[in-house]
Amino acid sequence: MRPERRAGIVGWGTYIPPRRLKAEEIASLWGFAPEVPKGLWIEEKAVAAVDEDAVTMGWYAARSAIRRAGIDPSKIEAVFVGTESKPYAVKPSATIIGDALGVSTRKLATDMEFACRAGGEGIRFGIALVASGQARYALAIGADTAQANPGDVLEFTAASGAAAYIVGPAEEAAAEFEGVVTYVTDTPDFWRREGSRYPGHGEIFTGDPAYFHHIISSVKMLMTELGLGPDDFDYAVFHQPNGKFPLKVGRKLGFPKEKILPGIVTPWLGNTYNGSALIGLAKVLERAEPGQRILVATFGSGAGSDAFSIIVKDSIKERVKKAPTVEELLQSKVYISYGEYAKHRRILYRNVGG
Amino acid sequence: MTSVQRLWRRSREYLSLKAFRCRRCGEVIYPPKRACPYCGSRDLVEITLPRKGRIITYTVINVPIEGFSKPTIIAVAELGGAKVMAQVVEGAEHLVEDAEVEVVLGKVGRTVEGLEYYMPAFRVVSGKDLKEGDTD
Ligand SMILES: [Zn+2]
Repeated sequence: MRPERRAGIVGWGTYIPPRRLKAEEIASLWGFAPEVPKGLWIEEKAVAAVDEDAVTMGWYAARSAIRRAGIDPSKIEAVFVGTESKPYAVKPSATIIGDALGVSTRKLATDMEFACRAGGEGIRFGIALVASGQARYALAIGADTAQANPGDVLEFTAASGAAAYIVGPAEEAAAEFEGVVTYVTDTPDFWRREGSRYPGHGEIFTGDPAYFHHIISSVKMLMTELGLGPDDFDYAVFHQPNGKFPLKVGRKLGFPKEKILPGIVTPWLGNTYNGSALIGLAKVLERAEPGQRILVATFGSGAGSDAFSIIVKDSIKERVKKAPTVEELLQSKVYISYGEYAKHRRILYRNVGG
Repeated sequence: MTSVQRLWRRSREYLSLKAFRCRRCGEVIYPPKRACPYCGSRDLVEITLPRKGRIITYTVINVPIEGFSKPTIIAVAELGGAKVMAQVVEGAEHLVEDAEVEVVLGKVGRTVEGLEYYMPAFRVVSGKDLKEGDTD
Protein backbone atom coordinates (compact mmCIF):
# COMPACT_ATOMS: atom_id res chain seq x y z
CA MET A 1 0.00 0.00 0.00
CA ARG A 2 0.97 3.61 -0.53
CA PRO A 3 1.06 5.55 2.76
CA GLU A 4 -1.53 8.39 3.05
CA ARG A 5 0.90 10.94 4.35
CA ARG A 6 4.33 10.35 2.92
CA ALA A 7 7.00 8.94 5.23
CA GLY A 8 10.66 8.25 4.73
CA ILE A 9 13.99 7.31 6.23
CA VAL A 10 15.28 10.37 8.06
CA GLY A 11 18.35 8.62 9.49
CA TRP A 12 19.92 5.18 9.58
CA GLY A 13 22.79 3.54 11.44
CA THR A 14 24.41 0.15 11.86
CA TYR A 15 26.65 -1.71 14.25
CA ILE A 16 28.91 -4.65 13.47
CA PRO A 17 30.99 -6.04 16.35
CA PRO A 18 34.68 -6.08 15.38
CA ARG A 19 35.40 -9.73 16.27
CA ARG A 20 35.33 -12.09 13.27
CA LEU A 21 35.42 -15.88 13.12
CA LYS A 22 36.47 -17.46 9.83
CA ALA A 23 34.15 -20.09 8.33
CA GLU A 24 37.16 -22.31 7.55
CA GLU A 25 37.88 -22.53 11.28
CA ILE A 26 34.35 -23.75 12.03
CA ALA A 27 34.58 -26.22 9.11
CA SER A 28 37.89 -27.70 10.26
CA LEU A 29 36.78 -27.97 13.92
CA TRP A 30 33.56 -29.88 13.19
CA GLY A 31 34.85 -31.80 10.17
CA PHE A 32 32.81 -30.08 7.47
CA ALA A 33 34.17 -30.26 3.92
CA PRO A 34 35.54 -26.87 2.79
CA GLU A 35 32.83 -26.91 0.09
CA VAL A 36 30.12 -26.43 2.74
CA PRO A 37 30.90 -22.77 3.62
CA LYS A 38 31.76 -22.11 -0.05
CA GLY A 39 28.37 -23.49 -1.08
CA LEU A 40 26.68 -21.09 1.37
CA TRP A 41 29.03 -18.25 0.34
CA ILE A 42 30.08 -17.43 3.87
CA GLU A 43 33.68 -16.36 4.54
CA GLU A 44 33.56 -15.03 8.09
CA LYS A 45 31.06 -13.87 10.67
CA ALA A 46 30.86 -11.10 13.28
CA VAL A 47 30.82 -12.18 16.91
CA ALA A 48 29.44 -10.05 19.74
CA ALA A 49 31.64 -9.87 22.83
CA VAL A 50 30.48 -11.34 26.11
CA ASP A 51 29.30 -7.90 27.30
CA GLU A 52 27.48 -6.99 24.07
CA ASP A 53 23.85 -7.79 23.36
CA ALA A 54 20.86 -6.66 21.31
CA VAL A 55 20.50 -3.62 23.62
CA THR A 56 24.08 -2.33 23.40
CA MET A 57 24.33 -2.99 19.65
CA GLY A 58 20.88 -1.55 18.96
CA TRP A 59 21.77 1.55 20.98
CA TYR A 60 24.96 2.08 18.95
CA ALA A 61 23.13 1.74 15.62
CA ALA A 62 20.35 4.04 16.84
CA ARG A 63 22.80 6.73 17.93
CA SER A 64 24.32 6.73 14.44
CA ALA A 65 20.79 6.97 12.99
CA ILE A 66 20.00 9.97 15.22
CA ARG A 67 23.24 11.63 14.19
CA ARG A 68 22.44 11.10 10.49
CA ALA A 69 18.91 12.40 11.04
CA GLY A 70 20.24 15.47 12.86
CA ILE A 71 17.19 15.43 15.16
CA ASP A 72 16.74 15.88 18.88
CA PRO A 73 16.11 12.36 20.31
CA SER A 74 13.43 13.77 22.61
CA LYS A 75 11.28 14.23 19.46
CA ILE A 76 11.17 10.44 18.85
CA GLU A 77 7.76 9.09 19.89
CA ALA A 78 8.12 5.36 19.24
CA VAL A 79 10.88 2.78 19.76
CA PHE A 80 10.47 -0.70 18.27
CA VAL A 81 13.15 -3.33 18.77
CA GLY A 82 12.96 -6.37 16.50
CA THR A 83 15.04 -9.18 17.97
CA GLU A 84 15.00 -12.88 18.73
CA SER A 85 17.86 -12.60 21.23
CA LYS A 86 16.67 -10.00 23.75
CA PRO A 87 18.61 -9.95 27.03
CA TYR A 88 15.51 -10.53 29.17
CA ALA A 89 12.65 -12.95 28.57
CA VAL A 90 10.45 -10.38 30.33
CA LYS A 91 11.56 -6.71 30.42
CA PRO A 92 11.59 -4.69 27.25
CA SER A 93 14.80 -3.75 25.49
CA ALA A 94 13.09 -0.76 23.84
CA THR A 95 12.77 1.03 27.19
CA ILE A 96 16.46 0.61 28.02
CA ILE A 97 17.54 1.85 24.60
CA GLY A 98 14.98 4.68 24.65
CA ASP A 99 16.15 6.07 28.01
CA ALA A 100 19.82 5.66 27.14
CA LEU A 101 19.27 7.70 23.96
CA GLY A 102 17.20 10.38 25.68
CA VAL A 103 14.04 9.54 23.72
CA SER A 104 10.81 11.20 24.86
CA THR A 105 8.92 9.53 27.74
CA ARG A 106 5.77 10.21 25.68
CA LYS A 107 6.31 7.25 23.40
CA LEU A 108 5.32 3.79 22.30
CA ALA A 109 8.02 1.24 23.10
CA THR A 110 7.98 -2.48 22.53
CA ASP A 111 10.13 -5.46 21.62
CA MET A 112 8.89 -7.38 18.62
CA GLU A 113 9.54 -11.00 17.72
CA PHE A 114 9.04 -12.56 14.29
CA ALA A 115 12.33 -14.41 13.79
CA CYS A 116 14.41 -12.30 11.36
CA ARG A 117 11.73 -9.88 10.14
CA ALA A 118 10.49 -8.14 13.30
CA GLY A 119 12.79 -5.17 12.56
CA GLY A 120 11.08 -4.81 9.17
CA GLU A 121 7.70 -4.86 10.84
CA GLY A 122 8.98 -2.16 13.22
CA ILE A 123 9.66 0.03 10.19
CA ARG A 124 6.11 -0.65 8.93
CA PHE A 125 4.71 0.41 12.32
CA GLY A 126 6.86 3.53 12.14
CA ILE A 127 5.49 4.37 8.69
CA ALA A 128 1.93 3.84 9.99
CA LEU A 129 2.48 6.18 12.94
CA VAL A 130 4.12 8.89 10.85
CA ALA A 131 1.61 8.57 7.99
CA SER A 132 -1.35 8.83 10.38
CA GLY A 133 0.11 11.83 12.19
CA GLN A 134 0.48 9.96 15.51
CA ALA A 135 4.24 10.42 15.73
CA ARG A 136 6.72 12.79 14.16
CA TYR A 137 9.59 10.28 14.35
CA ALA A 138 9.69 6.56 15.09
CA LEU A 139 12.82 4.53 15.74
CA ALA A 140 12.89 0.94 14.45
CA ILE A 141 15.78 -1.30 15.36
CA GLY A 142 16.74 -4.79 14.21
CA ALA A 143 19.40 -6.33 16.48
CA ASP A 144 20.47 -9.89 17.20
CA THR A 145 23.16 -12.02 18.74
CA ALA A 146 22.07 -15.08 16.79
CA GLN A 147 22.47 -18.47 18.43
CA ALA A 148 23.49 -21.72 16.76
CA ASN A 149 23.98 -25.19 18.14
CA PRO A 150 27.76 -25.89 18.00
CA GLY A 151 28.44 -28.09 14.98
CA ASP A 152 25.07 -27.26 13.34
CA VAL A 153 25.42 -25.95 9.78
CA LEU A 154 23.69 -22.82 11.12
CA GLU A 155 26.87 -22.04 13.07
CA PHE A 156 28.64 -20.91 9.89
CA THR A 157 26.28 -17.97 9.55
CA ALA A 158 24.64 -17.17 12.94
CA ALA A 159 26.17 -13.75 13.70
CA SER A 160 25.70 -10.53 15.65
CA GLY A 161 24.88 -7.04 14.46
CA ALA A 162 22.28 -4.28 14.43
CA ALA A 163 20.62 -1.70 12.21
CA ALA A 164 18.42 1.24 13.16
CA TYR A 165 16.12 3.44 11.10
CA ILE A 166 14.40 6.68 12.00
CA VAL A 167 11.14 7.00 10.12
CA GLY A 168 9.84 10.53 9.77
CA PRO A 169 8.05 12.93 7.41
CA ALA A 170 9.05 12.57 3.74
CA GLU A 171 10.00 16.27 3.53
CA GLU A 172 12.89 15.62 5.96
CA ALA A 173 13.81 12.20 4.61
CA ALA A 174 16.94 10.99 2.85
CA ALA A 175 14.81 8.33 1.16
CA GLU A 176 11.04 8.01 0.84
CA PHE A 177 8.81 4.95 1.20
CA GLU A 178 6.89 4.62 -2.05
CA GLY A 179 5.00 1.50 -1.02
CA VAL A 180 5.12 -1.48 1.32
CA VAL A 181 3.35 -4.84 1.65
CA THR A 182 3.77 -7.87 3.90
CA TYR A 183 3.07 -11.53 3.11
CA VAL A 184 2.58 -13.89 6.07
CA THR A 185 1.65 -17.58 6.50
CA ASP A 186 2.15 -20.23 9.19
CA THR A 187 5.23 -22.21 8.09
CA PRO A 188 7.30 -24.45 10.41
CA ASP A 189 10.78 -23.70 9.01
CA PHE A 190 12.64 -22.51 12.14
CA TRP A 191 11.83 -22.12 15.85
CA ARG A 192 13.27 -21.92 19.33
CA ARG A 193 11.28 -23.00 22.37
CA GLU A 194 11.23 -21.17 25.69
CA GLY A 195 14.32 -22.17 27.68
CA SER A 196 16.03 -23.72 24.67
CA ARG A 197 19.48 -22.26 23.96
CA TYR A 198 19.59 -23.06 20.25
CA PRO A 199 17.00 -23.00 17.49
CA GLY A 200 15.70 -26.00 15.59
CA HIS A 201 14.91 -25.97 11.91
CA GLY A 202 12.66 -28.03 9.67
CA GLU A 203 15.23 -29.03 7.03
CA ILE A 204 12.85 -29.43 4.11
CA PHE A 205 11.00 -26.22 4.89
CA THR A 206 13.94 -23.83 5.04
CA GLY A 207 14.34 -23.22 1.30
CA ASP A 208 11.46 -23.19 -1.17
CA PRO A 209 8.32 -23.12 1.04
CA ALA A 210 9.79 -20.56 3.43
CA TYR A 211 12.45 -18.10 2.23
CA PHE A 212 11.76 -18.25 -1.50
CA HIS A 213 7.97 -18.52 -1.40
CA HIS A 214 7.51 -15.62 1.04
CA ILE A 215 9.98 -13.20 -0.51
CA ILE A 216 8.76 -13.91 -4.04
CA SER A 217 5.14 -13.45 -2.90
CA SER A 218 5.73 -10.14 -1.10
CA VAL A 219 7.86 -8.67 -3.89
CA LYS A 220 5.37 -9.69 -6.60
CA MET A 221 2.52 -8.20 -4.57
CA LEU A 222 4.44 -4.94 -4.14
CA MET A 223 5.36 -4.69 -7.82
CA THR A 224 1.76 -5.41 -8.88
CA GLU A 225 0.34 -2.81 -6.49
CA LEU A 226 2.81 -0.15 -7.58
CA GLY A 227 2.75 -1.12 -11.26
CA LEU A 228 6.51 -1.65 -11.28
CA GLY A 229 8.84 -4.37 -12.60
CA PRO A 230 12.43 -5.39 -11.91
CA ASP A 231 13.68 -2.87 -14.50
CA ASP A 232 12.27 0.01 -12.45
CA PHE A 233 14.56 -0.74 -9.49
CA ASP A 234 18.24 0.21 -9.32
CA TYR A 235 18.97 -2.05 -6.33
CA ALA A 236 17.38 -5.10 -4.76
CA VAL A 237 18.16 -6.01 -1.15
CA PHE A 238 16.96 -9.30 0.32
CA HIS A 239 17.23 -11.00 3.69
CA GLN A 240 20.51 -12.91 3.68
CA PRO A 241 20.63 -16.18 5.65
CA ASN A 242 23.76 -16.86 3.56
CA GLY A 243 25.40 -15.28 0.52
CA LYS A 244 23.72 -17.51 -2.06
CA PHE A 245 19.98 -17.23 -1.25
CA PRO A 246 19.60 -13.51 -2.05
CA LEU A 247 21.19 -13.98 -5.47
CA LYS A 248 18.95 -16.97 -6.17
CA VAL A 249 15.72 -15.29 -5.07
CA GLY A 250 16.67 -12.22 -7.10
CA ARG A 251 17.24 -14.35 -10.18
CA LYS A 252 13.83 -16.02 -9.75
CA LEU A 253 12.24 -12.55 -9.57
CA GLY A 254 14.11 -11.27 -12.62
CA PHE A 255 16.72 -9.04 -10.94
CA PRO A 256 20.23 -9.21 -12.39
CA LYS A 257 23.16 -9.95 -10.07
CA GLU A 258 24.51 -6.39 -10.50
CA LYS A 259 21.47 -4.95 -8.69
CA ILE A 260 21.79 -7.40 -5.78
CA LEU A 261 25.54 -7.53 -5.10
CA PRO A 262 25.81 -3.96 -3.68
CA GLY A 263 23.48 -4.91 -0.79
CA ILE A 264 25.15 -8.24 0.02
CA VAL A 265 26.82 -8.28 3.45
CA THR A 266 26.42 -11.82 4.81
CA PRO A 267 29.61 -13.39 3.32
CA TRP A 268 31.75 -11.03 5.49
CA LEU A 269 29.44 -10.52 8.43
CA GLY A 270 27.23 -13.59 8.73
CA ASN A 271 23.48 -13.59 9.13
CA THR A 272 22.61 -10.99 11.73
CA TYR A 273 18.94 -12.09 11.68
CA ASN A 274 16.95 -8.90 12.33
CA GLY A 275 19.97 -6.90 11.18
CA SER A 276 20.48 -8.80 7.94
CA ALA A 277 18.37 -7.12 5.24
CA LEU A 278 18.46 -3.81 7.13
CA ILE A 279 22.29 -3.69 7.18
CA GLY A 280 22.19 -4.56 3.46
CA LEU A 281 19.81 -1.64 2.89
CA ALA A 282 22.14 0.69 4.84
CA LYS A 283 25.06 -0.35 2.63
CA VAL A 284 23.01 0.48 -0.48
CA LEU A 285 21.81 3.83 0.93
CA GLU A 286 25.45 4.73 1.54
CA ARG A 287 26.24 4.45 -2.19
CA ALA A 288 22.89 5.32 -3.81
CA GLU A 289 22.27 8.41 -5.93
CA PRO A 290 19.26 10.71 -5.54
CA GLY A 291 16.32 9.51 -7.66
CA GLN A 292 17.30 5.84 -7.54
CA ARG A 293 14.72 3.23 -6.48
CA ILE A 294 15.55 0.45 -4.01
CA LEU A 295 13.63 -2.76 -3.39
CA VAL A 296 14.03 -4.26 0.09
CA ALA A 297 12.52 -7.59 1.13
CA THR A 298 12.90 -8.96 4.64
CA PHE A 299 12.21 -12.55 5.63
CA GLY A 300 11.35 -14.03 8.99
CA SER A 301 10.79 -17.69 9.69
CA GLY A 302 7.38 -18.72 10.79
CA ALA A 303 7.02 -17.09 8.16
CA GLY A 304 6.69 -13.71 6.52
CA SER A 305 8.29 -11.10 4.28
CA ASP A 306 7.93 -7.31 4.07
CA ALA A 307 8.65 -5.71 0.70
CA PHE A 308 9.44 -2.00 0.53
CA SER A 309 9.95 0.31 -2.42
CA ILE A 310 12.19 3.22 -1.48
CA ILE A 311 13.14 6.26 -3.54
CA VAL A 312 16.40 8.02 -2.67
CA LYS A 313 16.28 11.78 -2.20
CA ASP A 314 18.75 14.66 -2.57
CA SER A 315 19.79 14.88 1.08
CA ILE A 316 21.20 11.33 1.13
CA LYS A 317 24.81 12.26 0.35
CA GLU A 318 25.34 14.71 3.20
CA ARG A 319 23.98 12.19 5.74
CA VAL A 320 26.20 9.27 4.78
CA LYS A 321 29.36 10.77 6.27
CA LYS A 322 27.82 11.71 9.64
CA ALA A 323 28.30 8.22 11.14
CA PRO A 324 30.33 5.06 10.43
CA THR A 325 29.33 3.36 7.16
CA VAL A 326 28.74 -0.37 6.70
CA GLU A 327 31.94 -0.55 4.62
CA GLU A 328 33.93 1.07 7.44
CA LEU A 329 32.44 -1.28 10.04
CA LEU A 330 33.18 -4.30 7.81
CA GLN A 331 36.80 -3.18 7.48
CA SER A 332 37.24 -2.63 11.22
CA LYS A 333 37.87 -6.17 12.46
CA VAL A 334 40.01 -8.53 14.52
CA TYR A 335 40.08 -12.28 13.97
CA ILE A 336 39.38 -14.59 16.89
CA SER A 337 39.75 -18.33 17.43
CA TYR A 338 36.87 -20.75 17.95
CA GLY A 339 37.90 -20.85 21.61
CA GLU A 340 37.48 -17.09 22.01
CA TYR A 341 34.19 -17.30 20.10
CA ALA A 342 33.00 -20.02 22.49
CA LYS A 343 33.87 -17.83 25.46
CA HIS A 344 32.21 -14.71 24.07
CA ARG A 345 29.03 -16.46 22.95
CA ARG A 346 28.83 -18.40 26.28
CA ILE A 347 29.03 -21.77 24.54
CA LEU A 348 31.38 -22.94 27.28
CA TYR A 349 29.46 -23.83 30.39
CA ARG A 350 31.47 -22.80 33.42
CA ASN A 351 30.57 -23.29 37.07
CA VAL A 352 31.13 -20.03 38.93
CA GLY A 353 31.51 -19.93 42.69
CA GLY A 354 31.45 -23.70 43.31
CA MET B 1 27.59 -4.81 44.41
CA THR B 2 25.06 -2.28 43.23
CA SER B 3 21.41 -2.59 44.19
CA VAL B 4 18.49 -2.43 41.77
CA GLN B 5 17.23 0.77 43.48
CA ARG B 6 20.57 2.52 43.23
CA LEU B 7 20.91 1.55 39.57
CA TRP B 8 17.47 2.80 38.71
CA ARG B 9 18.09 6.10 40.54
CA ARG B 10 21.39 6.81 38.89
CA SER B 11 21.47 5.19 35.46
CA ARG B 12 19.46 7.82 33.54
CA GLU B 13 21.62 10.58 35.00
CA TYR B 14 24.83 8.71 34.20
CA LEU B 15 23.74 7.81 30.66
CA SER B 16 22.74 11.33 29.70
CA LEU B 17 26.32 12.51 30.44
CA LYS B 18 24.88 15.51 32.25
CA ALA B 19 27.51 17.24 34.39
CA PHE B 20 27.99 20.46 36.33
CA ARG B 21 30.58 23.14 35.78
CA CYS B 22 31.52 25.03 38.96
CA ARG B 23 31.18 28.78 38.42
CA ARG B 24 33.68 29.50 41.20
CA CYS B 25 36.63 27.19 40.48
CA GLY B 26 35.78 26.03 36.96
CA GLU B 27 35.98 22.28 37.66
CA VAL B 28 33.59 19.95 35.83
CA ILE B 29 31.72 17.50 38.04
CA TYR B 30 30.40 14.15 36.81
CA PRO B 31 28.16 12.59 37.92
CA PRO B 32 26.39 15.77 39.08
CA LYS B 33 26.55 16.63 42.78
CA ARG B 34 24.78 19.31 44.83
CA ALA B 35 28.03 21.08 45.68
CA CYS B 36 31.41 21.28 44.01
CA PRO B 37 33.67 18.60 45.57
CA TYR B 38 36.71 20.80 44.82
CA CYS B 39 35.68 24.11 46.44
CA GLY B 40 32.26 23.51 48.05
CA SER B 41 30.48 26.09 45.91
CA ARG B 42 26.80 25.52 45.06
CA ASP B 43 26.98 27.88 42.11
CA LEU B 44 26.90 25.19 39.41
CA VAL B 45 25.77 25.23 35.79
CA GLU B 46 24.51 22.12 33.99
CA ILE B 47 26.40 20.99 30.88
CA THR B 48 26.45 17.85 28.71
CA LEU B 49 29.79 16.13 28.34
CA PRO B 50 31.16 15.22 24.90
CA ARG B 51 31.18 11.51 24.06
CA LYS B 52 34.84 11.52 23.07
CA GLY B 53 37.79 11.95 25.39
CA ARG B 54 41.22 10.63 26.40
CA ILE B 55 42.37 7.98 28.87
CA ILE B 56 44.09 9.38 31.96
CA THR B 57 44.73 6.06 33.67
CA TYR B 58 43.34 2.54 33.92
CA THR B 59 43.54 -0.69 35.85
CA VAL B 60 43.03 -4.34 34.90
CA ILE B 61 41.16 -6.51 37.41
CA ASN B 62 41.97 -10.15 36.70
CA VAL B 63 39.89 -11.54 39.55
CA PRO B 64 36.64 -9.55 39.39
CA ILE B 65 33.61 -10.27 41.56
CA GLU B 66 30.89 -12.47 40.17
CA GLY B 67 28.78 -10.90 37.44
CA PHE B 68 31.63 -8.99 35.80
CA SER B 69 33.56 -10.05 32.73
CA LYS B 70 37.07 -11.37 33.20
CA PRO B 71 39.28 -9.41 33.13
CA THR B 72 37.41 -6.23 34.03
CA ILE B 73 39.16 -3.07 32.89
CA ILE B 74 38.30 0.20 34.60
CA ALA B 75 39.57 3.48 33.18
CA VAL B 76 39.46 7.14 34.07
CA ALA B 77 39.13 9.40 31.06
CA GLU B 78 38.94 13.12 30.60
CA LEU B 79 35.73 14.14 28.83
CA GLY B 80 35.25 17.86 28.34
CA GLY B 81 37.13 18.72 31.53
CA ALA B 82 35.46 16.05 33.69
CA LYS B 83 37.19 12.98 35.02
CA VAL B 84 34.90 10.06 34.21
CA MET B 85 35.44 6.52 35.49
CA ALA B 86 33.92 3.66 33.51
CA GLN B 87 34.49 0.13 32.34
CA VAL B 88 36.36 -0.51 29.07
CA VAL B 89 34.15 -2.80 26.98
CA GLU B 90 35.79 -2.60 23.56
CA GLY B 91 39.20 -1.92 22.07
CA ALA B 92 41.27 -3.07 25.09
CA GLU B 93 44.07 -3.96 22.66
CA HIS B 94 44.58 -0.23 21.94
CA LEU B 95 44.52 0.73 25.62
CA VAL B 96 47.35 3.07 26.60
CA GLU B 97 47.41 6.31 28.55
CA ASP B 98 46.16 9.17 26.37
CA ALA B 99 44.33 6.77 24.04
CA GLU B 100 41.14 8.19 22.56
CA VAL B 101 37.89 6.77 23.94
CA GLU B 102 34.25 6.97 22.94
CA VAL B 103 31.44 6.58 25.47
CA VAL B 104 29.08 3.78 24.45
CA LEU B 105 26.26 1.93 26.19
CA GLY B 106 27.91 -1.01 27.93
CA LYS B 107 26.42 -4.01 29.65
CA VAL B 108 28.87 -3.81 32.49
CA GLY B 109 27.55 -6.19 35.13
CA ARG B 110 24.64 -7.99 36.75
CA THR B 111 23.13 -7.55 40.20
CA VAL B 112 22.61 -10.53 42.51
CA GLU B 113 18.89 -10.28 41.66
CA GLY B 114 19.76 -10.85 37.99
CA LEU B 115 19.29 -7.31 36.66
CA GLU B 116 21.69 -6.38 33.88
CA TYR B 117 23.23 -3.01 34.20
CA TYR B 118 23.70 -0.81 31.23
CA MET B 119 26.00 2.10 31.97
CA PRO B 120 28.27 4.49 30.11
CA ALA B 121 31.32 2.48 29.11
CA PHE B 122 34.45 3.19 27.11
CA ARG B 123 35.32 1.94 23.67
CA VAL B 124 38.98 2.61 22.96
CA VAL B 125 39.33 3.79 19.36
CA SER B 126 42.51 3.34 17.38
CA GLY B 127 41.90 6.64 15.63
CA LYS B 128 41.25 5.16 12.21
CA ASP B 129 37.47 4.96 12.50
CA LEU B 130 37.10 8.39 14.10
CA LYS B 131 35.16 11.09 12.31
CA GLU B 132 36.16 14.74 12.27
CA GLY B 133 34.16 16.82 14.73
CA ASP B 134 32.58 13.67 16.10
CA THR B 135 32.04 14.92 19.61
CA ASP B 136 28.32 14.70 20.37
ZN1 LIG C 1 34.33 24.50 42.55
